[in-house]
Amino acid sequence: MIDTYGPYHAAYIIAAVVYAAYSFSVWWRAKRARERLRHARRDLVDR
Amino acid sequence: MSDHRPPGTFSSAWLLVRKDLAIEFRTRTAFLSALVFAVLALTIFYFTWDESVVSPNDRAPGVLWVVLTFSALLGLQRSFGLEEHDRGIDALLVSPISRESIYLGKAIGNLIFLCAIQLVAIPSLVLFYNMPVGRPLFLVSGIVFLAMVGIVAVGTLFSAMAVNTRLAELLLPMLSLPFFVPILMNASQAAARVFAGRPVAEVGHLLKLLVAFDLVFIFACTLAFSFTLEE
Amino acid sequence: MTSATQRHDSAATAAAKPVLDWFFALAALAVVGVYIRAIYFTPLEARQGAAQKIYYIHVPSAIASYCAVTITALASIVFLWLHDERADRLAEASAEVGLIFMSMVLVTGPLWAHNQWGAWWVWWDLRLTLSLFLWFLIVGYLVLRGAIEEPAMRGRYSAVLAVLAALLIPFIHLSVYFSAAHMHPDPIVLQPSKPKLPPEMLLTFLLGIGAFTWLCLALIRSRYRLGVLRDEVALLEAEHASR
Repeated sequence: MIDTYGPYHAAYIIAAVVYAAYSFSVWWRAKRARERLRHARRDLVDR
Repeated sequence: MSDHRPPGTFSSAWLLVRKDLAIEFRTRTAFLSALVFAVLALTIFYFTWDESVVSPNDRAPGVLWVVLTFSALLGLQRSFGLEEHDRGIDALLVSPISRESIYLGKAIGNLIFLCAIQLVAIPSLVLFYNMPVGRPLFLVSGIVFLAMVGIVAVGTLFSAMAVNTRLAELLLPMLSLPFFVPILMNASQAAARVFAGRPVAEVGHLLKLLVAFDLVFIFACTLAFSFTLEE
Repeated sequence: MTSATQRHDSAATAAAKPVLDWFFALAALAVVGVYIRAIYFTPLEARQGAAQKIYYIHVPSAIASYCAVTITALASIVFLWLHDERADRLAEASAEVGLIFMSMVLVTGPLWAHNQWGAWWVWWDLRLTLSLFLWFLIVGYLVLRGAIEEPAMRGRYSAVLAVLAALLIPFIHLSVYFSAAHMHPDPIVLQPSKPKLPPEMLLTFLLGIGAFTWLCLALIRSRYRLGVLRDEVALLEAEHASR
């Protein structure tokens, strides 16, 4: 009987990890963008 | 010329074709390099398979399309590259010829370029791979022409777009190849069957899809071209 | 064209919104719920065993990814017509999210196919092959965007590509059907294969489609907000540089 559990576990784990990682990357990039935004605003005010 | 109406779409396109061909004829570098590449590739691919395992006759149809695709990409790379030097494209845009004419002119120029290469490549294929001459070859040449029309329609547009970006040499194949897929799938299958002696009627549905692709994308890319040159 | 201050004000309000908000949180919870249901509360299929459960992720991801690329295509048409940068931003966000979901289709597909048919890749499976070419098109779209600095040209070029890609899809579908169909006795047409699913499995399946599509839309919304932030940063940095 071929192993059907291996691919099943692999698929579920990979999908969970990738979707979570992408969500995190969106959050992380937004955090970096907000920091750069603060810097840029400060630079403009200081002229 | 006594009247000052700008030339119509097709005559201006033809003017552009003659200009590009004149430039090409004077230098001949692009044509000769593409030609040498095509013939060399044909010969090299011969040695990538063991003769005793896969007969050259079986391999030939596949090799034909690989070589066609890559020599097409070489030819397309150069088509707008010509204008890059001295920003020739600005002169074209300022002139009274329409955007559609520029696109059609470039596309027809590319088609002629590719046909010229295939006029040498296909006989070379027949020579090196011992392919049958006669009706199958004639039909396959027709299929190759139909495929080239589609390749040129899409490739000319993407060549125009890619030239304006930072990654021009990478982007042209990257954008064009997915679009070549339906062309190649249908054409190569049809050609393989025709070479094997099957009746044309059997591949009718493939050829119809190929022609439909050509018509749809000539129309769509002509329209799209005006968007890419919007200044 | 809105004035500079108007743009900065609206960007400021947009920037204040969190990128991962309640909409995303609920979507994530829905997906977790489907996971739990699929793993613990859905029976095993007799013939295929545990690997059949991959379908509860594979098909919903595919449907979600098709939604995402449809959004990209529609937003591109709107951009070409109205020249609204928001449409362009939406197209970009949908493309990126769509790429992630499409990648999952291409990862879970072979895992299931190998178990089911003994081959990692099956060219006659229309969904898998179509997903592969869509994947290449999305990558081309994103690389094209990355290669153009000027926003208006970037929007225009990528929108043209998106619309042409949408035109291409039916041709790829038919071409694969014609070429691969003769490789396999009965080609699987573009629909989730409809064995008679018992009600518990069918429910898991439908819940899966709902949850993953919700997650996809939530991520597009989040990625869109990221796009707003980035555009604002680019604008301010450009202003700063020009002084």
